[in-house]
Amino acid sequence: MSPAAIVLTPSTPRFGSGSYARFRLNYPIMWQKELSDQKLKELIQKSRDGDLQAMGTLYEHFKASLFSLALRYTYNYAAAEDVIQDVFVKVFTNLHTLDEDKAFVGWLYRITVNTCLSYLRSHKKLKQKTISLDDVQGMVADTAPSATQKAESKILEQTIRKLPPRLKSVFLLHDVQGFKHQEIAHILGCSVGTSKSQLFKARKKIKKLLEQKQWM
Amino acid sequence: MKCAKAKKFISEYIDGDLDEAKTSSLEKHLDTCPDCQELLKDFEQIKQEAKGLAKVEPSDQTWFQIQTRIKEKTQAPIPEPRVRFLFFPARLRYAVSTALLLFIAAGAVFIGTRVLNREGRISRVNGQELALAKIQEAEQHYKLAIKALWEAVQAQQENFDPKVAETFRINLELIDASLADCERAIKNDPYDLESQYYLLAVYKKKAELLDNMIDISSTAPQKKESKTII
Repeated sequence: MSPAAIVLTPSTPRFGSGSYARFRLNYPIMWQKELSDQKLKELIQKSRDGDLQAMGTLYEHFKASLFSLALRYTYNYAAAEDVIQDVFVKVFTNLHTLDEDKAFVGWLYRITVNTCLSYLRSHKKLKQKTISLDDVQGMVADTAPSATQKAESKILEQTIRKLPPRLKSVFLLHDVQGFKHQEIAHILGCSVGTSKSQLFKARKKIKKLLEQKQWM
Repeated sequence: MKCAKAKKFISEYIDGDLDEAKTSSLEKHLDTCPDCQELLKDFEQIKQEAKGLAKVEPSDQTWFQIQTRIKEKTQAPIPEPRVRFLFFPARLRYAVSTALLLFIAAGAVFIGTRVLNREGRISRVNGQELALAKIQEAEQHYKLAIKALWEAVQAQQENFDPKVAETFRINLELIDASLADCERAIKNDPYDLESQYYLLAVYKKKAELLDNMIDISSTAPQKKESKTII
């Protein structure tokens, strides 16, 4: 059950501003535009009533964020699509079980992380094909990053891949997706202290891996 | 502040999660510790790079597939196919249509022989035999059609509204009583064309009644409505 006190609403700066803007997406409208609490509540209610258009709007708003998250767990485009399909089917067919509409975002990310971890468990023995940024270049926007930026990001992608799942979850949610520790604690079902310490460990591990690649 | 402690605080410091006292203490340490300064710089760089990682979109097909799966999950289970006359095997449709055509043909022969007999243009015996042959052929087709229609009605019995079912029962009893009367009359006089023709007309009525009953039961709302999730 989601604690009612926690309101998870990704704040504006984490989507489409600052250095992030250089990787602007092909589908920038819903991604860069925040949904107001009222609008989100309305969409959730309509989706709960079976309104496919409302479900589509929610999907459009969260698809890139969740797909990127899933891709950084699976490193396989087709698998990430399967995960995203599973996530949205679970979400929209179980909306009636969500007591508090304001807990929707946290619930959505929790389902995504759990589905990704579940996928990793079931495919543990299978060697996944790595997907590099070059593979997804066509899907990344017109404002292309410089060659250096691309190379740096590629190295960072490779180091994130080497993180243990728990550290990866915290790192991706905090540093990539922009959630706060309180929100991460809610999504992952851990304490705020654990989230902070795991983020520290994740950054330390990344730093070590990057040093090994002489990037730092 | 010692380096070990300072390093633990650096991560929270760059996120702005460190309280004032610890921030002040850490900043004092950072002024004098190049190692911790380097760690701070590296963590900030990692955070900055992570923030700028590419966001990727799923294919356009994904939402279509999600929609399809949602519809499958939330749609009511497909009800058992309702037995409708139109969907009956071709054999039955053929039987009913043939019976109807033969009924019309028999009627034409029946009326025609009367007229021709009156005018003395054919012999009474030849006319009767021709009419009887047509009527009996039509009768066989009607019997086949009624048998299949009756099976279909029985299969749909649970969908019948009790009032409709009662009306159906009364009508069927009347038709069956008429059939019995006609058969008795034919038994007494096998060459009585009028009785044969009445028998065929009653068969036609029975086939129509059964067909109507199937139509009524297939258009009536199902008893068990499945609940949708969304």
